[in-house]
Amino acid sequence: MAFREMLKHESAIPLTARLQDFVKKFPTQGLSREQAADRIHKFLSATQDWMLSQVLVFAAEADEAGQTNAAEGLEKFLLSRLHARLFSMEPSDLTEDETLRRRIDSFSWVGFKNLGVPPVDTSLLDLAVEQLHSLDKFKAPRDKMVCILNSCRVINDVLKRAIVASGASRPLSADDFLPLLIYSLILANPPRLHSNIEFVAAFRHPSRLVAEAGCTQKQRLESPSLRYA
Amino acid sequence: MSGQEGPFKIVILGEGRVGKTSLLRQFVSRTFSDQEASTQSAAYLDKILLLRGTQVQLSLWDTAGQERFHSLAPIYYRNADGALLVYDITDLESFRRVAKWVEELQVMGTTCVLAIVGNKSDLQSQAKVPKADAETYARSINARHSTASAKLGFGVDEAFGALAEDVLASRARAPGQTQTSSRRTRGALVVAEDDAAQPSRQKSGCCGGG
Repeated sequence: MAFREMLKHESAIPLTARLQDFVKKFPTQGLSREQAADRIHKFLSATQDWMLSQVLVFAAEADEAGQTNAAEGLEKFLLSRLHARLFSMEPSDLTEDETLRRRIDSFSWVGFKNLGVPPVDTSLLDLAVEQLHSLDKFKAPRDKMVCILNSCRVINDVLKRAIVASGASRPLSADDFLPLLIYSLILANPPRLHSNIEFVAAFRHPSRLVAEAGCTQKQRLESPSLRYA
Repeated sequence: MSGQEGPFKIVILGEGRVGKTSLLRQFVSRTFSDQEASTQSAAYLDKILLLRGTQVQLSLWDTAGQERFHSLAPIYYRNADGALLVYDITDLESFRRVAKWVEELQVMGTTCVLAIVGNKSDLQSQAKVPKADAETYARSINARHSTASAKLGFGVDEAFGALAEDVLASRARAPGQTQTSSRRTRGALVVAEDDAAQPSRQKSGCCGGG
């Protein structure tokens, strides 16, 4: 069940009240990004524990996947509501965004040769570029992060095909990946890139920032014996 | 003793062509240069180790070896808990490059635990880097040294495993650093002189022993 649906359950009334109270009392100014993030993460950690143990509709989620979903839903709910107050919240953010945009724009002449990699069909990168643009369309840190991950997946896929097409048989490395990521970033020049990256880095809960969905799932599935030993 | 630790960020540094990616693949999926491996992410891999009853999650970052991307390296090693510095035993220049990485890490004030690995030990007959020299150097910077062959799978688990143990041990002695949130602090580079963050030579440092 979606988080929003679960919030409608009778047992979730105190949770809704707690969330609304936090949003209402959250200062509109006077906090640095770091201070704001600290306050939000403390609240989210405490609320998550309480929610999963005391709020019936969430406590009923016995398995790990259900609990993870609930925690994600909580983060998304809160950060979407605070987005307007937290996005680009530092005075310098607007200038930084503009500086970065111009900087990336000034690199539009960079080609595969400059990056020292064999060329790939740039139309294959359209999806990656699109995902990088979507970064600015979502409010929740996780949704923004998924855009970045998706663009990385596309790049991986393009590289994989290129290697297979060249007849080689070798694993992809950062030597392949980084140049193409840079190339895609120059192609995309995503709007408000600085603000978006800072937003994700600051407001995604630290426990979920390092190991991300998808990237990690496969390896976990491959080592069940280690995981549950 | 049981529980979970991490995720710890481990970054793999070294000159191009020394075998960083191959070591990583061999460690994570026990493959060397085959099709299956190329389906995985190119820059980031995840591995859970079982060390003394503790599940240790490692986030492993491959880095580009090309010199032209060198200026991007701090993005990778910033906030790293451990760095695996790789050289090719048949390439003296690649070993000298390790010392430059170490200098750079010290200048930037990173506190991460270091381990040096000489790859391509299967080419021992063509070795150009004297093992004794490498070991002496490693001791001088308080890092582990070992050799490995990503191709044959020798010494790979040992190298990563030992680094993970050292990271665990250093975290156990610096409890303030165990929180993920403290490592997330942006741009904050902690001073290198912090004794607690020095690599451990002890084998039994994990979580104070049990």
